[in-house]
Amino acid sequence: MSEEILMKVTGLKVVLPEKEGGETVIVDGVNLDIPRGKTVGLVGESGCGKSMTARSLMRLLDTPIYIKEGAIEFGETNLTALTEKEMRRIRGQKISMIFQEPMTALNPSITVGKQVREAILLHQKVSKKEAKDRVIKMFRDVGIPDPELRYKAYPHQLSGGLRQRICIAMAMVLEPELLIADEPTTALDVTVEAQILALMKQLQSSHGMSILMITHNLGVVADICDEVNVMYAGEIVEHAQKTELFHNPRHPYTLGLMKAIPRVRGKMDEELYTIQGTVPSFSDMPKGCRFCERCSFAEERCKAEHPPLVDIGNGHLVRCFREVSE
Amino acid sequence: MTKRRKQRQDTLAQMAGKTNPVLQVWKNFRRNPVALTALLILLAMVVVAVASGFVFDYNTQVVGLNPADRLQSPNSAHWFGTDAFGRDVFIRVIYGARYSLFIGIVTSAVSMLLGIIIGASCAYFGGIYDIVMMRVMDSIVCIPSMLLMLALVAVLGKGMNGIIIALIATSVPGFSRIVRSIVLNVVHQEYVEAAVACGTSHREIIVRHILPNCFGPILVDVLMSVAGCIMAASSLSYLGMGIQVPAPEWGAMLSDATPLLRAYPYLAIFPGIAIVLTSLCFNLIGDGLTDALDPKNR
Repeated sequence: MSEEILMKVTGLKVVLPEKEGGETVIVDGVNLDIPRGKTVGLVGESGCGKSMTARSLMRLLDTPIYIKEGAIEFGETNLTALTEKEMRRIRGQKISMIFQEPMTALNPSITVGKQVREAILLHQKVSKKEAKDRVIKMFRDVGIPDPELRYKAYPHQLSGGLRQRICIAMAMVLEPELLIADEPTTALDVTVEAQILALMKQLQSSHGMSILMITHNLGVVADICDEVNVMYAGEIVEHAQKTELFHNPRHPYTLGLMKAIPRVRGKMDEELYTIQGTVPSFSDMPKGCRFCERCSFAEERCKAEHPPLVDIGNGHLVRCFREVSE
Repeated sequence: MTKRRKQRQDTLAQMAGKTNPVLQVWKNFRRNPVALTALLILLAMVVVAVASGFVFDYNTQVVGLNPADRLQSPNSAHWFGTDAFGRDVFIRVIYGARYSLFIGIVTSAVSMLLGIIIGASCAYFGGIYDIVMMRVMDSIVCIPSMLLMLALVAVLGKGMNGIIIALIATSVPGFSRIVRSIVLNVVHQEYVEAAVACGTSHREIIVRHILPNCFGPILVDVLMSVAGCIMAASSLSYLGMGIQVPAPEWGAMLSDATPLLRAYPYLAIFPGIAIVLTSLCFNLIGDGLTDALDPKNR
């Protein structure tokens, strides 16, 4: 518990204003601590608000979506209070981001080398020659073969794996303190996925940055994360250290996710477990527990009241009445 | 080791052939015989228009009119014949290219520039600014363009300046709307977001990341618009509201030829062909470029 917290998010609330004057809450009161040098996972299914959370950390939300409440403390500064200009100095330099689709995350009309070099020139006063040398060194660090040659390549000439490596190089070249990875391996095939995850781990140990890993893949979490936050319908429902979460999942949603992982040694004739139903829509959120309609443990109380996030020891937080009643 | 070396050479060869996107587009364009012919004709016209001052002496061969030579049919001395004042039609048509090409290119270039500024800023910043600007543009489009041009020329005065301003005013709204829709497509690409995530400024994003990726479709529109501007300029001149006689503008020449159309049709045919050919060339080049820019042809 003595570890230094790099980013502390408290009560983050992201809303989409509606035309009729109401608003839809997309991220509801999320607390998130990202320790220095650690990898924190944010897991959840599509549309649960995990990408929106990641985007708000960089203040990259598309209008009209905005951060209504909450503080994002990054070291000494509160990011929500910064002007757009001040924020621009943080982006890329202190916090950077890797996107899901390496196919579209690079500008097709500029060579990849120049694109990465631009990221350096934007923030630091160095000569173009020096910046280029640093780009080539970074390309080598992220495992791009023949970096001098690839420097002059256009994105469409490279494979998906190489492009994602370029994106990682672009995000890492200024040695940020926090790297936000928004499903960086979803668009890649599994062998390349393993390579990219290994690369991220290796870069983390050599550069010492923190990673916020957004994913819907528990396999990725098991591979790379130190701590895990499970998100459901805009809120965090469970938070624990990785080993604790995998050995002792407490929230019914997390349990469901674990059961839904296909296992090599599972019974052949058994159908894969699925969680029944769908995520409630943000405009029609249940008053009580947001998971109660899909939960096999649901009681009357779950429908009426919203469960709090309770600590069941060792920083393992669960948002479920089953833990409260004890 | 040999395998690795071969791979490396393959990559090198591949990159040398495909590296420059502009070269690639030119390669595709060259394969289209129609567009290539149009480009050659147009280049010839430009050369002739520019060089005409050195080859012909407009003052003695055209202005120094010779009543004895009036209304000759095309012959070896006067290739396109002579008009009612004995002026050589061939030389007049060639000089006319100067007006038409100049007007077409200048107005298209200026309206493209204004269209890019307005359209790109609307698409990028959006919000109230976008709504207000687009409604202003819409209200200009509402007025029939010929009517608007005539009204503007009536206010600004006939002649080169009036015609150019009138043409620009009528073509900017269309351009802005087209550029806006092209830019809107690009703005939501992930690489633009990635650039924002790197801390890039608005100006850099527009200039470095958005406009270069819109350049192809915009260029095609500019070429098409040059054709439109040449037609519009000739129409204005034909109506007597553009370039004034005795200047050898194609539309004005057509206007001169109208009363004599039955007896001396060649007076109208040659400037008419010049107008059609020029705008056709621009259109065909635009078409060819659309195909050449299509990513499927890479």
